[in-house]
Amino acid sequence: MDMKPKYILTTALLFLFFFYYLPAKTTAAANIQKKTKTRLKVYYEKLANSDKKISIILFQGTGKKMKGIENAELVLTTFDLDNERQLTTIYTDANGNAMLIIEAKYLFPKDERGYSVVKVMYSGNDSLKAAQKKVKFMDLNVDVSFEIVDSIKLITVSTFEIDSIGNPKPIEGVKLNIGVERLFSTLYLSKIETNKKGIGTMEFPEDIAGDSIGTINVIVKIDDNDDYGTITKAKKINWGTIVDYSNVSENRSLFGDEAPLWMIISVFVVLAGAWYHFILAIYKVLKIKKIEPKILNEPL
Amino acid sequence: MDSHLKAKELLEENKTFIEKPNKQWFLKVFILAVLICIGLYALVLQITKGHLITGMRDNVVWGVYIVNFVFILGLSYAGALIAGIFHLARVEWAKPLQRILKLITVFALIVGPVYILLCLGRPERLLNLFLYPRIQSPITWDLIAIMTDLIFCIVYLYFTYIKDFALLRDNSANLNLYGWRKKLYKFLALGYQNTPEQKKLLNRALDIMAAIIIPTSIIAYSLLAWLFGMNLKVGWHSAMTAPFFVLSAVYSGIALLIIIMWIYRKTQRLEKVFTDNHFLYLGFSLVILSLFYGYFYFSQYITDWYNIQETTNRLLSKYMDFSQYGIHFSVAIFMVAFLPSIIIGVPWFRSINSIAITSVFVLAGLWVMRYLMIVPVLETPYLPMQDFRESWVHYSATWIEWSLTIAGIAICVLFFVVASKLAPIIPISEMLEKKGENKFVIFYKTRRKLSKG
Repeated sequence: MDMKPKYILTTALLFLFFFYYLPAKTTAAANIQKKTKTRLKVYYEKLANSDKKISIILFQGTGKKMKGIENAELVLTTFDLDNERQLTTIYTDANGNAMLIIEAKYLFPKDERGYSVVKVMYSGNDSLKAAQKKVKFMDLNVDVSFEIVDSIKLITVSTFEIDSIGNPKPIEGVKLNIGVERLFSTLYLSKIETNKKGIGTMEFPEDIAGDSIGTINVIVKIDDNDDYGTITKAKKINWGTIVDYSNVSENRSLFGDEAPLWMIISVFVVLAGAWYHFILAIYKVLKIKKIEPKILNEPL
Repeated sequence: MDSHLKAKELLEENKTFIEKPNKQWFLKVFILAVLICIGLYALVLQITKGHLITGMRDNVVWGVYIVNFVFILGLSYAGALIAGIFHLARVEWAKPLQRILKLITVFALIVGPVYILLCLGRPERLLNLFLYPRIQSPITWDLIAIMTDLIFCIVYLYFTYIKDFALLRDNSANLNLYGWRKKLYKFLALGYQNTPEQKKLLNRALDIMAAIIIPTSIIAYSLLAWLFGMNLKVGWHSAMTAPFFVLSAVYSGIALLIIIMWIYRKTQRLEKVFTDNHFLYLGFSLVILSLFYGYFYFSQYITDWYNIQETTNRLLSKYMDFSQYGIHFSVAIFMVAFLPSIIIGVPWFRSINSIAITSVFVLAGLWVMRYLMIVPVLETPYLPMQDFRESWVHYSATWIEWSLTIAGIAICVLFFVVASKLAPIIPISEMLEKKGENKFVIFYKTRRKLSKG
């Protein structure tokens, strides 16, 4: 009997702990809302027309839980020596992607090693943390030229930077992919590396199909280089084999403008035969209603 | 016993399935409606967010949707083909199966083409196929074939219902039906009173429809096969494609017929109608078709295998590589080419249930074989793929595609649930026609001349 108040007290305390203290603690924790970490990915690319493209992805989570942040304001700045200079402000799309294309004539300020820097900043909001990311790149120039030496067709690619006084400086050891533009994607033919003079050459194959006058679009691409980012250069030359598509159409009537007569006749004979019998069958069934006896027959 | 008394008796036995629906019926409809709604939600997501949320990409542009399209249309054409042959050949034991076959035909032909619309990134451009058709294009052939077949099959199905609508009209007083249904039966029966003239007209119309449905089905499914066969792709460009498609269709149609028969036999206690013999006859047909399938596939495979072309070898090696499609291929080919011979061919294993379960495996196996005919081929182009992400090279269906697949099956089942409530699932009037009563319209006069001679 003496033990009874002890049990009551213990039960009451446990009751208070589980039903008041713990939920109160959880609620308090929930009230201090944790901000979600955000991340930025920034890529630099020099386009075929020498415009520069900065591609940005703002997202939260990783792997399968990765989700783009929509309509977020991103501030882009660049550095002129130690001074930070604002480039522009852009907004992300529904998937957290944003893109800035800078005209070729705009020259990015460079540091003493020749690097240009673009910083992307996201200031966050009530639920998302701020994030920032820099992308560093050098402005590399790629020139493509074509020559025929002893009946061998050669593609020559030169890579160079422009130094502070405006002279070209050859760049050695740049890895380039050379290909030709096809209907859906680029067909890559070879990988080359530039020599001390900043020059790389490749023998062009004889069997690449071109258009009706043999024109092909040669694509030279540097893929995600640590210093130069991604650079694409394209130039046209009539080195492809001539494909006369008008002849192809004539040979394969299936793709011609006019269907062959036998096909038209066959289709119409088959369809007319089928539809004639179909209408005949419907006519017979509709006659059932017409010959319905006025005096009811024995029920079915 | 007179045929009309027998008809009354059969109607009486099955009246609970066509009378006013009970709670169980509504529960079935509700479950199916939920599955369809999930599919509709997925469809809305696909339309608003684009095909990016499916597994289809630039390279593998066809996935589960086109597999469903080919598979379901195959079931439809098989239904029409088998029903037409059974009807014209006056196969007495097959009379109870006629309605199921025709319902498979129509429902599959309604649902199947929807999947081709789901493949389109810009479905509104489908209208251009009607506005600017090119008779040279296999896509135009297929469009004409599907539309023609759909109209023919719906009308053929309706013709087969006329006698039973008249039966229901005449006996509606004894049935617990809604008033609108009685009016509907009266309207749809077209004043059919079973007079000799009316019977003759209807039977002739049915014979004509059966006769045109058979070639229409074969042509329509061959045209679908040529959509693949006319492509210069490895694995598709073959003269075997169309006959193989038709064989696969008949095979899958028989398997589905057995499954549906089994379900109705179990749920509506139709043991007297769908007898053991039906299962045995159709089961043996499965065995024969499985052997034909194995022969066709082996013939196609060995012809390709002897081809030393690099792309062909790459494709065939994917079927044998267990890290790629080896498991899918081995299991599916076992199910479609060998399982019926083992389970139905060996008497010890043979039973009604084992035949039905084998049919389920055959149907699943044939679906996988269709998948293997489409996806790995698209993953194996002639030109090497470069500059592509992994997800562009290897197709993997997303929940959007699976939920729309399940929704399609649910719609077909819902159609069956509603149709079997509207009228008996067995063609009562047709079953009670005496042998030789319904003369075959095309050879009728010839036979008379021969007998005179």
